[in-house]
Amino acid sequence: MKKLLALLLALIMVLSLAACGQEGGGTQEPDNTEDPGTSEPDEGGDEGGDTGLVNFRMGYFDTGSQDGTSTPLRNNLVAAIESLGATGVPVQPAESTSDAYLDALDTLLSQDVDAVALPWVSFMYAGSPAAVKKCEDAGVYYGFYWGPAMEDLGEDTLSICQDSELFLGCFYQNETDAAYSAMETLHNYGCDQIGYIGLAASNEMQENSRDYGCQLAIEDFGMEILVEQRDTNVTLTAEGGATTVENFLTAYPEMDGLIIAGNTQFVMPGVHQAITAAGREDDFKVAAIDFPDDMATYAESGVLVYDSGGHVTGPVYLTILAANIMNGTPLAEGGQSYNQQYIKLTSSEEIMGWMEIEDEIVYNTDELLQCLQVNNPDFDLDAFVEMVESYSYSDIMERHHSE
Amino acid sequence: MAILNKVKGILFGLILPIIVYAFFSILRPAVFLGSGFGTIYTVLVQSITTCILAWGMYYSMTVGALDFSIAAEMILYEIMATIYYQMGGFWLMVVLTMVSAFVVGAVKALIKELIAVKSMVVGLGLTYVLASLGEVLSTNRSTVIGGDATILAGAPYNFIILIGTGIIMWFLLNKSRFGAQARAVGGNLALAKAAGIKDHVVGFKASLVGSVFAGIAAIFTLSRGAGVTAQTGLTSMGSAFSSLMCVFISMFIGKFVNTTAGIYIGAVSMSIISIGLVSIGFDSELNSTVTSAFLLVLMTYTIITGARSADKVRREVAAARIRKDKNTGSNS
Repeated sequence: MKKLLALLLALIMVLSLAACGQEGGGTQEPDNTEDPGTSEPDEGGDEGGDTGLVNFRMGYFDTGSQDGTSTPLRNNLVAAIESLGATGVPVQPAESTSDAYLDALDTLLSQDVDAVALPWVSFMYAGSPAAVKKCEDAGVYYGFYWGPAMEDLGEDTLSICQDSELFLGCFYQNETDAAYSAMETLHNYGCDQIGYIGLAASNEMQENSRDYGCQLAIEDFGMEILVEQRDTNVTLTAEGGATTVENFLTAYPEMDGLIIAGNTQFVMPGVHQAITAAGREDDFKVAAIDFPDDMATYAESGVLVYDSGGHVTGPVYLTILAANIMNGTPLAEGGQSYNQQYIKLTSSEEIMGWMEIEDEIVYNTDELLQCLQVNNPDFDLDAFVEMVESYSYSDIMERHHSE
Repeated sequence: MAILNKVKGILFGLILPIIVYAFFSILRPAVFLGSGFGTIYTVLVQSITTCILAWGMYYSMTVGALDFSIAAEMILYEIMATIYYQMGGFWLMVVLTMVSAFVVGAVKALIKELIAVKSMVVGLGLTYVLASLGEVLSTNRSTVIGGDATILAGAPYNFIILIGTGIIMWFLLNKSRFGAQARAVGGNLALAKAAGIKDHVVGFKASLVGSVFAGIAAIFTLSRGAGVTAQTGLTSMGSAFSSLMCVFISMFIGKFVNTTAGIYIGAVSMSIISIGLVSIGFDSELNSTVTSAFLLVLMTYTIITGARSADKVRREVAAARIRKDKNTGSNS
């Protein structure tokens, strides 16, 4: 009886994990696409029904819909996969460690995927070489998003992927610039005595780049960071955000601003709650990196004055690169670095404006189909790079709301 | 005399947070002595969640099962609470969250008792399941609440919740048959069974009470943070660890104050350390290391003093025997 119940518990656990993995309909059949081009099926791909596009299997890591960044990332990726005639194959890592992500990658590779989008930040320097090697051994196209530029991937990773025909590229954000802009905005609001909520030191790439951006701003504007909170036991919950701000304001009453350079989506509700509870909405401002849920509330109260985020298009771009290869028209020979832009909102008003379009799919089906050379022979590498680098709030407004 | 002893005990129990507060007052007097009641108020408010969760954890520990899944359970109830809030506002959120805590807690307790293995592994498995449920429930859904639903985080409601929950804890633990039976089961299972205590029923009740406390902690924590994010895998265990430390602190001062007060004193001490480390600009990534070291020192002290007391008793018994033998010898 006990053994049976233990097995039952294990089964429930596995099923609930599997339920998370299947959420979002990643295994659904691809939709038909308009204006099909003509192409020869590539190795590992099949004709995608009546679209004429090659149907291939795009693997990705589904981190659920737990926050304001992972939700649009997945929604945009799923939309791109469907638009480009591919089949999505999601997998959900058991936890947020590079080992868990490597295990999940094994699962993906066992599902006969043709290409896979790898979140570099989840593998980091320790896990990236193994991830790259697994993809190479499986003969699967791969590329990174949420990572550094290619030259900063780490010697081991770079040595494998720089000459590889399977490597699609590296989509990186300019973290230094994002942090610098955050500090600059706080300074413009008259806030120079700053508290800092950030990532743990183990998150070397992002932490170093964002810290460097803050440091540059401190030197340029004469600001001061009074105290830091990088303990992930605290910064992964909203209550931790409230506790942090309460501690900051108790220990440093002169503090007039806060930069959240990591885990924004977790701490922001609590941060806002603590600031309003202390009645400091008018003289205490927050600048953040990554978009949290319910951003309009924080902007409306005047607390949140800067946010850079919306860096959710990396996997979409990787899917475009993979789709072109699978349709026999590769855009580039080998992988390279691409600067995936942040959407930078530098006032409460701009944040409110963004909230009106935040749920939109960034690239619609028509736009994505024009990113395939089989449909649009003029779409070359330069056009692709221009598309990547022009991504911004005004770019989306111009493309979708110009009237 | 009994009252005097009780007062003495309470004063001894309060020594720990007073020492910690005095220590940080020396390092940052402006924060700990110069801000009026502000710092103390922050300490008292921040200790509430940890304390309620620790009270909930204590029941499982009493019957001999360390259950880390209570933190994942709390997060699940927080996520449920955001859904109930969006369905019907504040009162529906409070009522349905407590009902959910009771129902989910009963299912969890039943599973634990049916498996009947007093192992942390069961707790870890349940943590995974509860975390996954939270993840599924929060998918494609906003998990924040409006300002109107955060009223419980402010005074006097926060302290009313603390005192009310504390009274329930104290009553169940010290004045109810269930509390006595739980201590009996945790102390000596064979003896408890021989006395006719149904250990499975007691274990079920202990787990269920812990779940209800997790429900209360969830409502209060959600009110404080105004939002929640699902935590996958074992990530939630960090919160359970803080509460576990409070239980250990209560054991440390258990000679002086009862468990209910001891756990609260532990939570207050932890909050003082938390604010103290921020005020002296201590590297935040080492905070857990410092609090763990603090716990280790307390545990080491408890073990050493316990061993010394036992040794002293043994020596006294041995000396009494020698005296008795001598007396017997001289008489004969």
